[in-house]
Amino acid sequence: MMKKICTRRRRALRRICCFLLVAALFFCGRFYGLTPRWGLNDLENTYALDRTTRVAYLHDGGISASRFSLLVLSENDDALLFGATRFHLLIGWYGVGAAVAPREPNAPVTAGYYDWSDDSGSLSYGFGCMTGAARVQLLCVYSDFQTGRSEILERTVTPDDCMRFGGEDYFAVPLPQSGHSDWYRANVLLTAYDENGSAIVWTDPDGAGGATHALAYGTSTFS
Amino acid sequence: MEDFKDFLDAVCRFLPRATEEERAALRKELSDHLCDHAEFLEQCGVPPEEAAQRAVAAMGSAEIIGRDYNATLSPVWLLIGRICKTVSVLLILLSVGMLLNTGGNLAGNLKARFSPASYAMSHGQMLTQIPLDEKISVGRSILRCYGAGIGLDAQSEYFFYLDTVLYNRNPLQAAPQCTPLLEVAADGTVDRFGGGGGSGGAYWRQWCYALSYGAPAITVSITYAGQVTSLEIPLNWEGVP
Amino acid sequence: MKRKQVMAHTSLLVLALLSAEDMYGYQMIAALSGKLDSTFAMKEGTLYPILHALENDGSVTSYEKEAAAGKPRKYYHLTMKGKLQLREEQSQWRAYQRAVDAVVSSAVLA
Repeated sequence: MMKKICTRRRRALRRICCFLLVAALFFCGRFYGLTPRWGLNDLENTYALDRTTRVAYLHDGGISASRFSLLVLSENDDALLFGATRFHLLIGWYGVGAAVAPREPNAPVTAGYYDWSDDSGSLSYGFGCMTGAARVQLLCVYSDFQTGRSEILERTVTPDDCMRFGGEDYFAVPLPQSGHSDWYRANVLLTAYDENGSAIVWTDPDGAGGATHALAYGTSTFS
Repeated sequence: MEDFKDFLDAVCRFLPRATEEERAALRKELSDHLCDHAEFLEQCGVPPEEAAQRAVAAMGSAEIIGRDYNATLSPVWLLIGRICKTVSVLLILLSVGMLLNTGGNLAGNLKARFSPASYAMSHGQMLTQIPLDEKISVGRSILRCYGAGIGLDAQSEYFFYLDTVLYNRNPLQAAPQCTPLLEVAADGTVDRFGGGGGSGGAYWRQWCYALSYGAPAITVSITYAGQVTSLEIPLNWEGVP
Repeated sequence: MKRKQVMAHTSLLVLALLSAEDMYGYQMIAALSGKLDSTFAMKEGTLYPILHALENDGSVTSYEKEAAAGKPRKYYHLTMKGKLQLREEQSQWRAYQRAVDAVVSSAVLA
């Protein structure tokens, strides 16, 4: 009976083939998030979106949870997505959470806001696409639950704050935080202006917010 | 065979690159050679002890044999082989871990594909059942409408129900937990999916709409990212009190 | 002959032996002592590094099999690559032989 004997080289080549096969199965089975794109895939899947194109990765280490994470803004024909992806040694990159703003056909602005908090604090970002507007004003309304007092903090976005991508202007900006840590944010209101300073879209206060943090808005023309 | 052992030990002293397995293999091969040569000499009438000594002497310098053999052992291939083996084992362990983790997704997904009706839905008082099987693409997932009918609620009002399940095209991946681009509308009421019964692999949801007795049909509009799928469902009131 | 010269030719000798049949180490030594006289006497142990180097090159492969006496031995087999190498070394050796003969045969011995 013959028993074949292996050289180092042959054994190493066999192990290389085995490694390549295992790596291919591992990759095809999507067992490990090798890059932040896999985390974005996670988020697309969670929110039932078709494949999106990444506009930008951002890093904001403002809270403990975000220190080893990436914020991502991405888009497709149907919606904008803004969320967070994080790396874990055992599972690689995965999606933490996101906000989705559905696109309306011919809308000058598509916008939303994303919140992320942990014991160390919170992050809030306004995001969107403002190709059809000259200026977007975001108003954060904070209220004291007990006394009913409120304050309004403003963040204005201009094309200078935007990232140009695919012929469109996208923004992702931190929203102002209230100095009162125990006040809650009652609302985020959006108003977009054209070059002449006329309001072209503004938030419908009754329709704003919701699970996806898309800023629903109405339009009207001034006569 | 003490002479052989000393000679073999001397050769192995000059094999720093060899693994234990390689050292043992060379020892065996040289030992077999020495045995064969000593046996031949004994057959020629040489006394055993002298035959062993002559066999060893004929082999030559243990140092030269060891050094020359050691030079043929490539550390590069050994390192590559060991790295590939370690990484492969790690990948397999990770895969097993992930499979255990996604096993729940697979079970729910397969149930949604092959027997969605086996998921227990609360129908109130079910009066009629309407066979249905429509699949609508929702991003990378499928919304499957697998059953409908007429029911009676606690206030004795008629309602139309539509049973659906949402699952991913990839059986190992979780179903969407939130569907901001999906709307289901009927009878002027618009609703969103927003989770449902089930596990990560599939989410079941029953949609209920008010119904007037005798209505001949109901139109359910399912909109995903502006694409509308309308289901015109005829209603059979026969036997319904 | 000097050790270096013997070593240089031993690969060719091993390939030539294996072209006829698969052999184990001692069998090759026995075959060589039968075919060659003491001019080419080599230390037997030096065969094994040569065999291993040929194996690394892919010119030979090895396997374990029971020898005629019933004991398991490590046999060596000439591969296709080994056959090509043998052919090349054979023609190099013949060219070398002719060149040396041409010079040596015209030497003047006082």
